[in-house]
Parts: sequence; structure tokens; C-alpha cells
Amino acid sequence: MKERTIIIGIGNPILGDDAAGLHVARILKKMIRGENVTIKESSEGSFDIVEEIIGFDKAIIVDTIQSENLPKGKIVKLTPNNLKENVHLVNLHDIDMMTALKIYEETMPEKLPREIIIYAITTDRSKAFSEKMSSEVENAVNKLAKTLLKEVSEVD
Amino acid sequence: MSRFIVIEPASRLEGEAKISIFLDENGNVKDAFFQVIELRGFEQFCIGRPVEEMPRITSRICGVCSWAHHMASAKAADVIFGRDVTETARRIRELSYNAHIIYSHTIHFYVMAAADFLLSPDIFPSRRNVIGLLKERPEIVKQAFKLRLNTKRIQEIVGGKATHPTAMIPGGVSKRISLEERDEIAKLVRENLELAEKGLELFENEIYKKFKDEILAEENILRTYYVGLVDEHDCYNFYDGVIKVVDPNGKEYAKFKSHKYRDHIAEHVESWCYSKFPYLKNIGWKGFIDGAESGIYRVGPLARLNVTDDCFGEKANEHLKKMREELGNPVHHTLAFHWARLIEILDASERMLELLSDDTIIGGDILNTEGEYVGEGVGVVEAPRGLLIHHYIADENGLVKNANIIVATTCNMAAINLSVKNAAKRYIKEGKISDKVLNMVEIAFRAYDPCLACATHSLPGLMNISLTIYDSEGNVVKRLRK
Repeated sequence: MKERTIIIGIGNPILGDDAAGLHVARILKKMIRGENVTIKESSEGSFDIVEEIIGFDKAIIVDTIQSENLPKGKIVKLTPNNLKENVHLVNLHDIDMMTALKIYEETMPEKLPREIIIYAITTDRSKAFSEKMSSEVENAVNKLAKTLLKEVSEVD
Repeated sequence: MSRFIVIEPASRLEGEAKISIFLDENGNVKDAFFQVIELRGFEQFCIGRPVEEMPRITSRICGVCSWAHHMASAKAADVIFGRDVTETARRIRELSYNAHIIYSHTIHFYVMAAADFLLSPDIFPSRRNVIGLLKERPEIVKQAFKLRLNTKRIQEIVGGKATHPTAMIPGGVSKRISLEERDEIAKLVRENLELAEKGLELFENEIYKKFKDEILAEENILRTYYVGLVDEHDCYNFYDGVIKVVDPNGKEYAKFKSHKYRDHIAEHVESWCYSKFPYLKNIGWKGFIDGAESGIYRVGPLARLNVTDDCFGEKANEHLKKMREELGNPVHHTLAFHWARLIEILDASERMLELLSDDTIIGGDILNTEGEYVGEGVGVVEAPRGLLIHHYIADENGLVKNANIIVATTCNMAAINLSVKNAAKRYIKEGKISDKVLNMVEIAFRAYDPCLACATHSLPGLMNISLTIYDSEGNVVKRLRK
């Protein structure tokens, strides 16, 4: 039985570069037809995102991050282990994704994908409301979509 | 020489905030400021947008408060298009909105706040969280998850999506509820009702007893005005009503229709904070002080239970009586916001069962498309954290030319500053800074469930990720933050 993969692009569609994950998912939706690959867009909170990946063998999460050292538009590949150092609560209403993952690891580890990869596109701290991305992030979106297309094609 | 202490960033906070505490020559607290340091101006983004798109656009202000913005915006659009919402649609809206209240309160109390009370307040904030609670009290976390998932499912059925709903449109809703869906929702709500009672049992029998001294402490009391929506029976209502104000003695001070809000509410500006400080216009801004002479008011669960005569539900009413017997009426104890939140979860469940019991809710008349275009509208709901006002003025083509959004956290911002200062005073004396100060300051402002994303209309309620990247040798190569 082939492994089931979910690619989930995260972001806010009206917050400029923050929407990068959504745009990656939209590109891939047009290009990937494999029945073992599910592609979703999400603007939800951490619990909801973790619940989306439950039941899959592999999850690829595409999001944006702010970097103090990397320029805007770089692609960083991470695993949850890279993030565990910073498992903490930073949001009053919702928890960060790593905390949500940790809760599911503690309560139902068998339901989480055995492999979780996070692709993050770097942005700056600007969060002006806009429906357009910067050229740097838009280029990164296209590049990452190609990378993921290759990665998923190899699996499917 | 004065000293100052800065605690930043505030843990478990959406958006950017820092708390600055200033000490006097004797080492006592002179001032404390809860500063919001981000501003984006969402209203400007709304200019030129078609009014009918506003409910979907404004729901993106915040991933957590999306339902509240969606609903307030839809109500403003109803007025602009001159459309009276059909009875079935009104009930569907109220049903789904009560579900959202439960969803939001559940996350706040169980995932965010419960650890403050059920784990030792002496432990470091990074360990005083839901992960710690899961280890110590797994049954409580599981209870919360059940409540949350049940409510999420209801939101999906009614709203099309659990987060960022799309179902509310000018004049009604876009989707009816089938008989099967009604039955499914009712089953989930009955389960929720039992879970809500367990939550209150936990608070009244364990948390209140353990934290009574803290809850009753003078530093955790603010004698302010309270503002909330009430129906024609003077019962608070999350979805609709008139705005009622009670004074610090619990006496009705004012009652007015939502479109009159500018006659009663003004906004004070401080140079050190991007958030504004709304106050009661006819009392006036007297600075950061409480009491009947100060126009500072509070909104949210505690305010709602202070402006209401009774709860809607019989069971919730018993708990309201219990709270008033313990703390008086009105209740000025800031930490009782949590108690009020749990009462509201129960009350919302009872209200939902009542709405479901009438066949009107499965009717087919869900949208009124008739009406005379007015061009200006105010939509008001009770967001989980308090009164939310959306006010739009549109041109003759139905495009927004002016938007004003006043959110609950902004309404509470002056009171939050006071609560932070009072908590700091208690734990910093004559230069001696108690280890508890950070925890207790956090507990004080967290009671309000502040949402800085909404307050500044800045950052939507998605994840903030702070992370450190290590190379294979374990060295830090990058520090990243979202």
C-alpha cells in the first residue's frame, strides 16, 4: 500500500507574504493528480492544522517564518525536532503548532504521520494587509512548488 | 533614582506586547504599562471593498475571533442593504454563534488559563502550560478536547467551515440546516452541556476554593462600569440586543441602540500604546483609575453577567446565583472572568438546545433579498471577549468608503493596564521583587483573554513560531521567529 501524503499550505490570504503557503498549495493543486497525495490550504489555528494531518503517513507543511539572519524569500527545510527547543505558548487564544503536535504525541501518537516536514519561506516582519506578495517571496513560492512537485512525484 | 522592569514578550499573547513596570525611589510600583507595539490599520484595507464581501474579509482579522468579526460584519451589511434577516436565518446565526462562544471559551479556559490554577503558580511560565496540565491532569485536557471537537463540528455544519465561516450573508444565511444535521447538532450539544457542568464543578469545587484569597484580593478587584448586549428581557445575548451600561454599583447607567454607540463611547489615545482606550463619553476620561467617576468600562464574560438580570438557562442561572452569593452583584473580581466564562459555556449550551427544539431552525426561508439600500450600517455582537462593533459607510455603488471597528480587547485595554499595575504592586514592595510577579501579572491580564491581533487589527490569529536552528554539532546557526 502506497503511503498517503498531505501537503498543507498555511497562511492568511490578505496578509501579503504571509499567504506564501497558500500560494504553494494552489500551484500544486493544479499540477498534482495522484490519489495518494492530498493538498490543502489552511488559515486555521494550530490545533486545526495538526488535526488535518492526522491519519496520513507523511505530512509536508508549508508556511512562512521571520528570520533575523536570512534574507526574505529563502526556503528553509525543517522537521519538528528543529522546533522542539522552542515548544512554548506564545498566543493567548491558540497554541503554537509544536505544542499542538506535542499534545497529540502524548495522547494519540499512532495517529500522527511518521514523517513531518516543514518548508518555511522567510519573510520580514512587515505584516501590512495586502493581497500581493513581494517579488522575493513570490519567487520562493514558485521554486518551492517545483521542489515539492519533484518530492511528491517520487513518492507517488 | 527610579528603576524600571520590562517583561517582554508577554507569554501566550497574540501579537506584540510588552509590559513595563516603573518603580519609585522606594522601590514600589509607580506605574505599569501594558503596551501594544504593533499597528497595521485593517480599516484602511477595507476601503473600496464591496459591502457584501466584508463578512468574509473581516473574518481574516484574526483566526481565533473570525466568527465574531464575520457575524458583526454580516449584521452591519444587513443594515446597509436594508434587509431584515428571516426568522430561520436569525436562529441559525444565533445557534452557530453560541457554538463559537463555547469553542473560544473552551480554548481559553482549558488550554490557556487552567494551567495557571491547576498547576503551581510558583513554577516557571514555560512549564506552566497545557503540556504540564496534560501530564498532571490528563482527564481535564481530554474533557476540553471533546468539548472543542464537538463545537468545531457544529461550526462546520452551520458555517461551512469551522474557522473563517462564509455562511452569513446580507439578509440571512447561505445554507439551511437539514433534519439530520439538527439531530447531529443536538446530540453534540447535549454532550457539551454535561461537559460544561463538569467544568463548573472543577472551578467551584477546586479552583475557587484553592484560589479564593487570590480572587478576593483587593489588588484583583476593579470597580468599573460594565457594558454588554441585552435582549428585551434584560437578559444578555451574544448575537443581538441593545447596549446596556451598568455603573459600579450595578445600577443601569444607560441603554442604547447599537448605531448610537458614538454618543456614548469615545476613545482616548496615549502616545506609548498603539491601542486606543475607549471610555464612556458622558463620564469622561479621568486617567487610569476605576470607580464611578472614571469612564473606564469593562466588557466580556464578567461584564455580560453584570449587565444581565439572569442567565438564559436554568442550570446556568443556578451557577450565576452561586457566583453572586460569593462575590456580590456586580462582580468586580477580575479573576472571576473565568468563572463567568464557564457559566457562559453552560448557558450557551442551554440556549442552543432551546433553539434546536423549535422546527423553525430547519425551515427553508433562510434569506431575505428584499430591502432598500441605506448605505450605512452598524453591526454589534458580543465576541467571546466582549462587545464588538463594526461600522461601515458605503458609497452609492456599495463600496466601503469608511470603516470603524471597535473590538473587545480595546474596550478592556484601560482596565488591563490597571489590573497589571495592581498585580505588580502586590508582588513588588520596597525594592523586593517576588518571584511570583511575572506569573501573577500574567494571570491578571490573561483573565481578560486579550486579543492583540484584534486590538491592533494587525496580525491574524495564526501561529507565532519562535525557533532556533542547530547544525549537526548542536550549534545554533539561525534563530527564526514568525
